[in-house]
This record gives sequence, structure tokens and C-alpha cells, in this order.
Amino acid sequence: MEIIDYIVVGSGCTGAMAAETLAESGKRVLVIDVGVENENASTENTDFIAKRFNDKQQSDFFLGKELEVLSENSHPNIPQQMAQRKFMTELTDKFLPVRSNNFFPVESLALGGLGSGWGLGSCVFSENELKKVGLSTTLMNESYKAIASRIGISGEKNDDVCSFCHNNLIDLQPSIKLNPAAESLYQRYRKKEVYFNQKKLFIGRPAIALLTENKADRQAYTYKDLDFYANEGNSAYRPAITIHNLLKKGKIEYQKGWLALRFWEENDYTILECMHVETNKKQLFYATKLILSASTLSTARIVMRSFQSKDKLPILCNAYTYMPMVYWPFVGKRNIDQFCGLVQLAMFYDKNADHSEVAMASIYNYRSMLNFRILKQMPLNYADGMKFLKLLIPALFIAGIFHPADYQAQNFIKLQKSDSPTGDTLLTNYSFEGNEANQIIETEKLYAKAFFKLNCLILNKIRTSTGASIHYSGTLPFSENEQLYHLSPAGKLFGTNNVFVADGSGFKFLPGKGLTLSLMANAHLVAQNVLKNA
Amino acid sequence: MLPEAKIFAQYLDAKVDDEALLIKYTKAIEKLKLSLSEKEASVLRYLIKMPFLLPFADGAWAFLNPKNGIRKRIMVMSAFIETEPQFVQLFLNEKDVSFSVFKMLFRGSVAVLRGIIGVFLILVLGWK
Ligand SMILES: Cc1cc2nc3c(=O)[nH]c(=O)nc-3n(C[C@H](O)[C@H](O)[C@H](O)COP(=O)(O)OP(=O)(O)OC[C@H]3O[C@@H](n4cnc5c(N)ncnc54)[C@H](O)[C@@H]3O)c2cc1C
Repeated sequence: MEIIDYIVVGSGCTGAMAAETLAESGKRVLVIDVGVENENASTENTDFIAKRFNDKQQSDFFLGKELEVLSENSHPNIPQQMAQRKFMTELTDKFLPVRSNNFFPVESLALGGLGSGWGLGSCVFSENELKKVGLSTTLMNESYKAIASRIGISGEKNDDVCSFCHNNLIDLQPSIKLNPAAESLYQRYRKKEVYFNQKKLFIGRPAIALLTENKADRQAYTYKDLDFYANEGNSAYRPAITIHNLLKKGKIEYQKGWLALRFWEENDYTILECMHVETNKKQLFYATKLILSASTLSTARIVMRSFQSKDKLPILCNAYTYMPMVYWPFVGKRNIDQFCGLVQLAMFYDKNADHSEVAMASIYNYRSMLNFRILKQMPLNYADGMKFLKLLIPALFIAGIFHPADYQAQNFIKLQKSDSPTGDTLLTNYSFEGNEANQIIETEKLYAKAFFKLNCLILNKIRTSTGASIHYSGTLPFSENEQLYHLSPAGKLFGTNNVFVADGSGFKFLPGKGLTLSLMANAHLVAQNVLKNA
Repeated sequence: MLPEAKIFAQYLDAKVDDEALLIKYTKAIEKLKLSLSEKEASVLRYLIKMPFLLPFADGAWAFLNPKNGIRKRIMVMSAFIETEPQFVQLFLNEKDVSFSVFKMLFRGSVAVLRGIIGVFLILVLGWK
């Protein structure tokens, strides 16, 4: 029996950060992961426009060799899946089954997890938000700095949203150049800034985990508008970059193909039972300390199995509304070569004017996802719709609004016996009701009015099904008091001696912002606590 | 299935001079298992004979029945055309377009009008 110092479950944003911190100690670190890899990874280095005009094989690239993009079996909450990103959600139907009428979470069993396709939007949480989440401001502020210097973040140092995005806590590379339509929209806001600020609305450039300058062996972003398909020069931060680097330097070991099922403790070590996803063979791994970073929902499954729980656990998920809109001044404009499909601007709504309950709209230009995806949703015939869209695309923005989330009694997850390979299915319920639902409607109206003021015509207001925000947390809330299914503020799972949780399971509140930078900062802190505890 | 592919390509303004695209479409429909109900298949036979009705029927389905099987097949053709370099100018402006807001509103109005006529058409012909 071989006892490893630290076993980390999962290689997503949180697992990668925890593994890196633990590896710095020089002790043995083993990452256990299902680790589906990207067989369609693209090494594309042309730009979108050149590709569209010249590449005769482009349908394989845009629609997938197996026409994956046209097939009807996509996940309800990621209908816009690219062939190059399909691996992110592979095997989840089989090994992470969910039963629900109203909550369809997006989960991953991939190397790099959902971080293989995250939108890179990086926000620090404010002091008030951290208090509600259950984390220490001082420690998190230190940790934000450490994570930012690891992954590389670009952003604007002096605009109206820096206090929402980075609060000048982290070293930033210069922000990306805005696309012309976004630049024009931003200038329009600057002219009406006073009006917007009175309404507690602020627009600026969000911080994103994208390099605009070279960093170690990663290269600066090149504006080729293939952001959803390729990651030239690794300019976008993806957790697999960290895992590959650590492996190259011999700092960690990595075992893929293993699904962690449950753990138990004996004297001074922890036993982790895993199942191989190809053979269903079971194997035990032994660790001095076990760090679970398999994502909020997957970790909850492991914990519930280990404690043989029949109880319900709470869950948090941001509500998400998106609004396609036309920015009139850009209708019919020429398509340019240098373009960026990533988030351009963010509009924050600070309801209480104290950063305690913030909602955020991420604003994107739509182009590289191709027109046919919009055409199929438009109430127009295809032939006219195509001509209509050709003029409209340069002016098309999508604003995705994240609403803050607090615990509500009706929302829960629970493990139920089933005949799945793991022997269980996650039963979930999530709905927005009462005050929360009213607040969502109010916020949507406010945003719609604000965009109208900026010369945008809202085409539709789509309140997505719950789970679509892909922001989940709060299944094992942080607590000062020792109680089952809770985490200590240091990330230790109560009821165990050596099991820690490094993903979002402890977050007791979800600000309406990107949570992943905070997830990574927390994972770093948890790993530091593991080392202190050693 | 080739006649169907041909009328869809023509409908989308793609002047097809070789059969490769049509064959690609035919194979894709099989691969994606986009089968039609009996009623949809018979409607499609009519449309192959009278392709000028297609914009109206398509516009009406877009309103009333977006999941219609024929519309799904048009979507496949539209995706293929969009990813052929020879047709890229059907989707991307190479220059700024003058009077673009006016042109867009005009195009939108034509589409809505065709949709409204189409609604009557498919109700009368029982194609809903
Ligand atoms: C399209 C998209 C855009 C997004 N954009 C943003 C954004 O702009 N800003 C933002 O803040 N967030 C964004 N997110 C959310 C962000 O991706 C997640 O918050 C983040 O990736 C969660 O990281 P994680 O490590 O907790 O979990 P995951 O990324 O889900 O990683 C889980 C890891 O654990 C492994 N695993 C799971 N279960 C087991 C098991 N039982 N045994 C072994 N291994 C297991 C998986 O293989 C995987 O490696 C986005 C997500 C998506 C999909």
C-alpha cells in the first residue's frame, strides 16, 4: 500500500491551482481525474475572415467532422457548443447523471474541466461579497494577487468598473483593444456617464484571463476571432496549461480515467475509492490528505456517497438572462480582420451602492459563431433572414446578465439510488421565486432601459433555464461551527480529519459576477491550509 | 434527395455549379437522421414542384412551427452554404453598405410580409 502525501481530485481551475500550491512544498502530489482530452484540438493560426474566404475544408472546422454542431443532441444549457469543445462535457451523461424538472447543470469530466472553455471573465469579490460568501477579505486579497500572477490577467486600471473587477489588487496587463462597435458603444456611455452612474450603473472593460503581453512560454493575444475554436499561443488561461507545466517539471503525478466515488478514513490516512471509466474496475488510492476539487456538484456527490447521505444539500446558481441587441450605428458596417470574440465590456449594477449585491452584464460582439445559429431561432424565412442578418451582424451585441444568488428553501440536491454506473443519480430542484424572481425582472428592465439609452434595440430577452449560468456553489457551506456537510473556513470537511474541499462548495452566496477567479483564489488558500495542517 | 438539395440551395441564393455541395447535404441529412413525417414529406414533394412557395411556407413555419422537419433541413443547407468560401459574401459585408438601416428594415418587412402570406397559405393547404 502506497500512501501519497496529497491527492487532488479534479484538474479544473480549482484542482490545477490547488495542485500547483501543493507542489510548491516539494511533497508528492497526485491529481486524479477522469481527464477526457480534446481530440479535436485546433492549432489554427489563420484569422476568421481569411479562413472564411479561403479554406475549402472550413465546414469540418466550424461544423465538426461528425457534424456535431448540427446534431440535435446538445445539452440544453450549451446549445452553442463547438466541435472543438465537445470533449468538455463528454461522459457526463453517463457518470454524472442528473434528474430534474428544472435544473440542468453543465458539468465536466475533462482535463482542465469547464476551464477548457470558460469565458475568462475574472472578478475579485468585494469585502461585502466575501463576507456573505464566508471568506476572509485579507486572505483572499493576498490570494487574488498570487493567482493573477500565475494565470495572467489583462484589464483596465482606470475606468468605472475596476472596483468591480479587480479593485487594483492585482497586476494587470494592458486591456484588449475593443472592437470598433464596442469602442463606439463605450464612448457613447462616457458621454452619458453621469446619468448612468446616478442609476448605479457602470460600464467599462472587464478583467479577463487573457494575455496581451507574452508571459513565460505563453504568447500575447492576436485578435484572430477564433476564440471559441482555438487558443493560439495559449494566450487564454486554461487549467490544462498548469497541469501540463507541472507534469513537465515533474512536480505532480497525474492519473487519468479514474472517477472518484467515495472516501473513508483510517487512523492517519484517507482511502479514496475510484472507478475506471473504461473498464468500471475499482481501485483504492491512499493519501495523507485528500483535496476534493471536482466541482461543486461532483464533490457533493462524493461527499454524500461517503457519508451515505439521504439528506438534501442546498445549492446556489446565478440566474442568467441574455439579450441579443442591435447597435444601430453599426448596421451594415464592413467586417474587419482584427476582431475579438471575447467579452468586450461589462455593465455592473450596484443595487445598494455598497458592492454587496451586484449584477453584471457581459457584453459580446457576435460573429465567429456563424449566422445559421441565429437564423434558426429567428421568426423569419431563411432566405430573407440571411440578407437581413448580413447587415445586422456587425451591429449585433449579446449581453449576458448574471443575477446574484442567495439560498432559497426550495432549491436542493440529493443523491438517489439508480442503475447508473455509479449506482446513483443526482436529484435536483432549482427555481427562482418570490422576491428573488421579482428582483430578476426589475434588473432585466433596468438593463434593457440602459441599453436603449445607448442606442441599442433589444431583440429579445431570454431568461435561460436554471443552470445555464454555469456558476454553482454552496452545497457544503462554510461554517464556524462544526456540523456535518459543512466546511471550516479553512476548507476542511467537518466530520473528517484529513479531507479538504477546494472548489466552490463552501461559497454561501454567489455575487452576480464571474466566480472563477475567486474559486481559484480560494483553492490556493485551501491548499496553503492543507500544507499548514501537515 | 438531390432535387430537394437543389431547391434549398437556390432558395438561399447559392448558385451551385457542381454537385459536391448537394451530395454533402444529402449525406448529412442521413447522418443527422433528420427524417420527415409523412405529411412533411408530401409537403416537400409539392415544394420541389413549386419552389416559389418555399419562402412563404418557411416564413410561416418560422412563426408557427420552428421545429418543422423541412425547416431543419433548410438549416443544414444554410450551414453548409455559410461554410463554403464561394458563398461567403452572402454572409459577410466586404464593404460598408450605404443606406443599410433602410435596407435592413426593408428586408425585415419583406420577410414579415412573406411570413404573413405564408401563414394563410399553410393554413389553407393544411401544411402546418
Ligand atoms: C462556456 C463557459 C463560459 C464560462 N465563463 C466564465 C467566465 O467568464 N467567468 C467565470 O468566472 N466563470 C466562467 N465559467 C465557469 C467556470 O468555467 C467554472 O466556474 C470553473 O471552471 C469551475 O471550476 P472547477 O474546478 O470548480 O470545476 P470544473 O471545471 O468542473 O472541473 C472539475 C474537474 O474535476 C474532474 N472530476 C469531476 N468529478 C470527478 C470525479 N468524480 N472523479 C475524478 N475527477 C472528477 C473533472 O474531470 C474536471 O477535471 C464558464 C463556464 C463555461 C462552461
